[in-house]
Amino acid sequence: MSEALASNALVFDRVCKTFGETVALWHVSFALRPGTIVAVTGGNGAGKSTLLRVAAFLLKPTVGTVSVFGQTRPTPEVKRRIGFLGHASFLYEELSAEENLRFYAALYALGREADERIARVLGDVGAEEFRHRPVRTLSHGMRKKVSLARALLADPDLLLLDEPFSGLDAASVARTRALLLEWRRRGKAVLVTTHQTELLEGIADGELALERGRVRTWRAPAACESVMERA
Amino acid sequence: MSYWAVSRRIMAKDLVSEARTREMTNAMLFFALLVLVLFSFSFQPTSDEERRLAAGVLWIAFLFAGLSVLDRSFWRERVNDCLDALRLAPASASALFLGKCAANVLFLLLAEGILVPLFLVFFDLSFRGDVGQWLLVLVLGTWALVVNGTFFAAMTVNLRSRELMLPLLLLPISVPALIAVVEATATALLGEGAMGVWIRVLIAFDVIYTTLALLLFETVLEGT
Amino acid sequence: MSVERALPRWWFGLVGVTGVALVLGVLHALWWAPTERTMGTVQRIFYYHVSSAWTAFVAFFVNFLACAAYLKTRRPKWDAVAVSAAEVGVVFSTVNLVTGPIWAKPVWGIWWTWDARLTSTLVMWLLYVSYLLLRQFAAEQPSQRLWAAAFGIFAFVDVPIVYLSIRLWRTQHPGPVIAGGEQSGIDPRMFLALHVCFLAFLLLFVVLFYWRYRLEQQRTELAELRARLHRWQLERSV
Repeated sequence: MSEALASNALVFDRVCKTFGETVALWHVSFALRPGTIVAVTGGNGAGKSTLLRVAAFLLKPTVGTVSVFGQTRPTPEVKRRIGFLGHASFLYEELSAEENLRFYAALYALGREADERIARVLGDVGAEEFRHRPVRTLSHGMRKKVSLARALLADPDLLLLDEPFSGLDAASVARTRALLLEWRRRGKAVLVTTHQTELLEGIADGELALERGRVRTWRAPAACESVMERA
Repeated sequence: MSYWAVSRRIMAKDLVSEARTREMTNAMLFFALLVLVLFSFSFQPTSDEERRLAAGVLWIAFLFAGLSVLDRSFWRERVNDCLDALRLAPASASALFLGKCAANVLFLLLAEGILVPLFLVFFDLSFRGDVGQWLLVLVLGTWALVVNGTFFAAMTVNLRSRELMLPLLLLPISVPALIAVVEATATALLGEGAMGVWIRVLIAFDVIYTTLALLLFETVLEGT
Repeated sequence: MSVERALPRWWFGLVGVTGVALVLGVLHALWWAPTERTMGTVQRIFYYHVSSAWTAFVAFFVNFLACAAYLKTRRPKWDAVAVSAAEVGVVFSTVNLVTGPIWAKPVWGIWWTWDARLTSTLVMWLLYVSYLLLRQFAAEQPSQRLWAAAFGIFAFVDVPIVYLSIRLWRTQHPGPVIAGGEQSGIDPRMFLALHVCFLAFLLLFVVLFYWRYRLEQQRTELAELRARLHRWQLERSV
């Protein structure tokens, strides 16, 4: 069991999350290996965002355990390996895209390679043209790109993306899909939530379908020794 | 990237952000100015006793300014959920805390720099005592308010009654520091008496509470 | 845990002992202790004024230790101890603050004076009322309990600093001091009366504290049971 845990990027073991009487997640179990992309699907209120927040250690499970690269506590080393894209942009409105990235680069201790990484991620998401504009002036789609760049800054091994396609035009969607494939090729583990399942067609190796906090189906990526049972 | 680099970075971020919007500085200066103006209607200090009172008025104005600064301090992180982003980052929580304190001290010193000359003009006063020593008192007293205020600002950021709780928590704790700064200011205005003892009180207060704040900040955030 | 055992037998025994102690205290304070020469009968309130002050201080010290323990171990029991001690402490502190002016007015002619003892008592009272308010909000958001514990530590550290700084201020601006019992040559019978009252108040503190503590524990247990029941119901419905 512990061997499987260590080789997995992310493991949920019978995780339940309740907020008082409200149940957000109920007995959710799955494992995510490096070099795979798993889509988390489900309607509104299914618990997709909560699942991602629990995976990022932003929320503590009420019952059950979460482990990222074998660690159950958010140590700085683990945090450095997680890249999170949430609903909110995590950007400071008065600063430019580049200034925002420079700020986060310092928090993630990028040091001398900060400049190079910033240029790289801005290029990857296609945000170079507006890198010097204050975030407050950017459209929703542009902000989404900068937020994604922020998530990629420290070259994380586990990517948790909450609705990365929302508000993007067709070209940007295609770009993001290409990025996903590139990350998989480079051995990253990616968990993507979306309610537009067609956008992940041909890309997602596995699918975790949620319904009202419960796992409806868990289709593990092929050739993957899933640790957990199906719902 | 060291601990201090992270602190400097967050201090710079707060300063730059505020420089571009000036939302908080406007509110801060407005309320403080209002206090000075209203009080100057009610009395013009001529006697020594009134000079003492004026010292208190000055620090009430500083408190108003300070509460505006502190209130905004963590609230500005709530926009776009940046507070979550800070929690996700591997940076040390106490480094972030120090950076925030540094930014808040600078904002408050800026306000004080504007308010002091206005104060002297409105009340027709001058410093008869040692101004150099008084400036030291100003800095120490500002740090005393800010170090606890920043801690309590983080403490109350998620509460509905945040704006009420912050002064309710900060003012009783700050009583020793407030006594010290008002006494020292009165001494500086009157030109008689010693500020040395109050400087020592402030140094002790600052050391004790800075240590306590740094120790406890990490401890508390480990849990949330 | 059955209802009968909510409060253990020894607690009821202690209530009895406390009752006796309080009666003894009244007898000492109102009869057996001699009447003070200058102040007269009203001086007798001093036994309650000082006892409540000391008891409040003990309560807040318990709160300080419990807050530190909670921050270190994160075990909810310490948080329950902290809030219980603070609540009872504020009650005794209120008694202290109310009896002060009642004693002062007939004897010294003033309701209040900003001397070191009175002022630091008032500040201490304010600090712990703030603590309780903060802790009250923490009830809705349990993650706030750690913050409340941190404030408890800030508050207790402040108490001696406030006292000393006001003493210092008073040396520069002397003012009236409402004598709070600097026992220089106090009559031995008065000494005895004071300590009997103090003991009675301490026992009362333990009685009230433990009652409040059990109440807090039961509230937590109830919330826990509700959550478990809810989860069990969800299990059944799947």
